[in-house]
Amino acid sequence: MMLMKASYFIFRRMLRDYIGMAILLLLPIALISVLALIADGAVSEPLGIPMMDEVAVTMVFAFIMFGGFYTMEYVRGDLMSSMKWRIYSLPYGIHNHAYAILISCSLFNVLQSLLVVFYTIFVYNVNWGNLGIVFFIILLVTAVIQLVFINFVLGVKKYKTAERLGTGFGLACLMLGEVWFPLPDGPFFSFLSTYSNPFSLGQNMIFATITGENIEKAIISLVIFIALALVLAITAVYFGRRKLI
Amino acid sequence: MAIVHMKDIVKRYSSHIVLDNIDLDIAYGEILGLLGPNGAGKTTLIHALAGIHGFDSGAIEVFGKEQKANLLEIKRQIGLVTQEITLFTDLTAKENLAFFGGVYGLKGEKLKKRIDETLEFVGLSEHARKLPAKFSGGMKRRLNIACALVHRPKFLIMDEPTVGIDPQSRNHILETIRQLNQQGTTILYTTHYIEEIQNLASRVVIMDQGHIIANGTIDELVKKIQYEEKIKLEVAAPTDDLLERLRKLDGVKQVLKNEKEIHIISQVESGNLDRVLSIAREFGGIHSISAEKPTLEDVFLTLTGKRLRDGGEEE
Repeated sequence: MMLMKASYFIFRRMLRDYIGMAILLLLPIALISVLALIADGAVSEPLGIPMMDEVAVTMVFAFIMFGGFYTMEYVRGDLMSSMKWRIYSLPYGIHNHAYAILISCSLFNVLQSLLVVFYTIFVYNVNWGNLGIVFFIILLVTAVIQLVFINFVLGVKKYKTAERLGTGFGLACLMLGEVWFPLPDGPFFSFLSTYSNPFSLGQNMIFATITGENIEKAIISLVIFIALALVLAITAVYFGRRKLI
Repeated sequence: MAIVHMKDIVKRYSSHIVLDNIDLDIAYGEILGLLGPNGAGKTTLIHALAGIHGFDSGAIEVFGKEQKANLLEIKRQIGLVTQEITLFTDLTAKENLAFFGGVYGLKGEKLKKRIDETLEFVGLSEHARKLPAKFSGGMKRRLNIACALVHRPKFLIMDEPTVGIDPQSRNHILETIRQLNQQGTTILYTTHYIEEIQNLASRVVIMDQGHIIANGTIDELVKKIQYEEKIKLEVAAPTDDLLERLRKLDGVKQVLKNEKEIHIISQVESGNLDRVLSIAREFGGIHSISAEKPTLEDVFLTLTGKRLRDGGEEE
């Protein structure tokens, strides 16, 4: 019950974070709008879907890769600054607050992503397939990303280092997902671009939902995601116990 | 009867002893002033008391129950006003109280009522729906206190609650503390402002380097260091005859002249004030006379060798 209450208040705080909103909601919408002018009517060769659909999926998942900064910022603000003394004095486990941050940041990031998804549906008629499955995939990817970032902030000594790791992680995901340039040919690079990062794994699942093809790839991605989430949750608990008194 | 009983508390950070065999009782209904220079161990003591962290040896009882780190049952009855302003700046004053009240188990109408009462108590009712970012320093401090009061704790720990605010807000806060105490709240109060302790505390504990070096009422502590009293006299004509007559008084140790001012230092409780007055009258007009007694500041300086506001704010 307390977890729900705390999550509610953190969610409320996030609604007033206008910078985060601008970066993770307005910026992707703006970029999609610009790229839509370029992608106008084109078809993505390997997938056989409109280029606009691929742009939309890529943009949504690209920004999800950086959504973990929310978790990082709230963990720092509430549990690693002077605020921690107030939180620690409360009759409420610190881990509860950390979970509340994780839950609300994940849901908020999901909400932002879904708003972008709806924007692409209503404005550009993008076909996302089954929206229930899209919601589930976005939720899963978002949760894993928040866990990655919470590991960064709890696992390293300096917050600045965690920030750099977060930025590096996001950029590495996009690079491995071949957003800017294709990776060299060969089975190793093909594996890297398909299964090595949350961005590609998320895309695999969404493209399978849109096209109804490559279901096997999507299932493997799902299994990797679940395994990854479990491992990250365990390491987050370990780092949390070490860092948060 | 004691609300807090600390016995032989030792707390170390690696090889550094921060609390060294601390014994301390806090009685129900008192305001205990905790003084100490930076690094004395005050904040560590407070954190151990509030159950924020444990200690290496000894025992703490709060409300007759053994205190350990993160014991929720005891934490529910304690309020901690932190040294820094610890508010959610992106929640309104009312929402801040709703969050903290909720954590302490308040809900529904009871929570609403408590929020309204607490905001009224600290004088922030009109600002309930504003974000603390728009508050003055004094208002933030008051909200900081309100967050620790919303659940009506029986024992309130205040760690320098008036740092960096204007005199008007300070007075408001001090009055709030007096009222809380009158309503039965036991308060542990630390500050760098000695006058606040003089105004509020029924008893004072002075810490230095992890030890309690003095414990008693202000009068008791002053008596401990009071070896002499000083009378300051300003006269129209401080002649040598006058000085000689004063020197001959019983118990007078020293008479010093500084232009029209005469400083007479006597043994403690010599009762020389009346005699000084009558002699001075014989020699003409008295412009002013005052008897100076040691203050709490003098006690602190004598015992610790430091002024209270030396150095930084933090331990």
